[in-house]
Amino acid sequence: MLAGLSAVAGTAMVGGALPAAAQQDKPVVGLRYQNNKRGTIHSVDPATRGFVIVWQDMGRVKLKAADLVTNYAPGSTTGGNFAQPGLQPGQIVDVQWYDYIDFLIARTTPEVSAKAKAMVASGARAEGLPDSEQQIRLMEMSGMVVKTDLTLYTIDIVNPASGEVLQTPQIRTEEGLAALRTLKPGDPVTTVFSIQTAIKVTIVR
Amino acid sequence: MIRSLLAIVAIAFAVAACDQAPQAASPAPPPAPLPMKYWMVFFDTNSATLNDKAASTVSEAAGIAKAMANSTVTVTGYTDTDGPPAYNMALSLRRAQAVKAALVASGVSSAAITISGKGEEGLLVATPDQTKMESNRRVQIVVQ
Repeated sequence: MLAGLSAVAGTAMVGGALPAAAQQDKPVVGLRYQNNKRGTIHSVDPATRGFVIVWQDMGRVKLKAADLVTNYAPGSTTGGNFAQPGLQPGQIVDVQWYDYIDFLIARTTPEVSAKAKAMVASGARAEGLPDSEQQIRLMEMSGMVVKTDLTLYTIDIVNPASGEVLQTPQIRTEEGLAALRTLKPGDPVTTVFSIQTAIKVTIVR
Repeated sequence: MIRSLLAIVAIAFAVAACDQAPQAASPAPPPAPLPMKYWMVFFDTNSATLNDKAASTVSEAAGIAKAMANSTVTVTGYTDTDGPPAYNMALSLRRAQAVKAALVASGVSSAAITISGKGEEGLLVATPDQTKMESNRRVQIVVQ
């Protein structure tokens, strides 16, 4: 695992990087949250560097391809200047990826809202990959708590603008779980999660 | 001699393997849950009138309901604990009816909509009796 990550990090340095100080300020997605899984690509959305993959055991999952996924686009070249086919529907692939991870679960206050917006603006970086140019994106979900689920570790939040009730991804960090236990319906809450992100995709066939 | 014995043993293992019952096929994965989306609209005290924000929310829900094949819509009205329970039961039903009317006006089939009123049951935020609480004065719209 670590050897694989070192190789990926080495690839990332080639593509340029943000200043080290800026990198250090970003939230970090811990290595322990990394997953490795084989699946079949269902669809690809080049406009957003997104793709949908079907895991055998989990069904469809929508992922974003970080810039570390150098074979995302068709025609991209390898170090040996061989054109790559790019990711295509139907391909069986091995994926290194990060699931949703909570970075902030807190009762809404002006300070918490400002912090959430700053986090979303900066994005996160993966632990051990400080020079990845395209960061792991963060998203904010805020509103009024409708329900907390202490079995699935999720919160149903009603969006104050649209009235739609959305369920957060599963809360996984100790800090997030501690905050979850303090929330109750009616509370204003602000959450920040990283989105599901692939950092390496190997085409099997 | 030893080679002959090994060959016999190998054949015996092969035959034994053939006698084993075939492994049961892995169970079929459970059916995927129906896609479901839900919304909440909130009301003024003692009112069953949709304000602009509520109307916008109902319109969005209607759009989703129309886009989903064979969708069903469940509309459930609630009140806070202000006022008599019997009155609030009727008020919660009027709220649900108002939302249904708006859904139908937006093009959702009346037959696809089920409504009910829960009155003071199912408070979103637990409060003592005779408490005004906006988050409890609501209608929940579930589209699936």
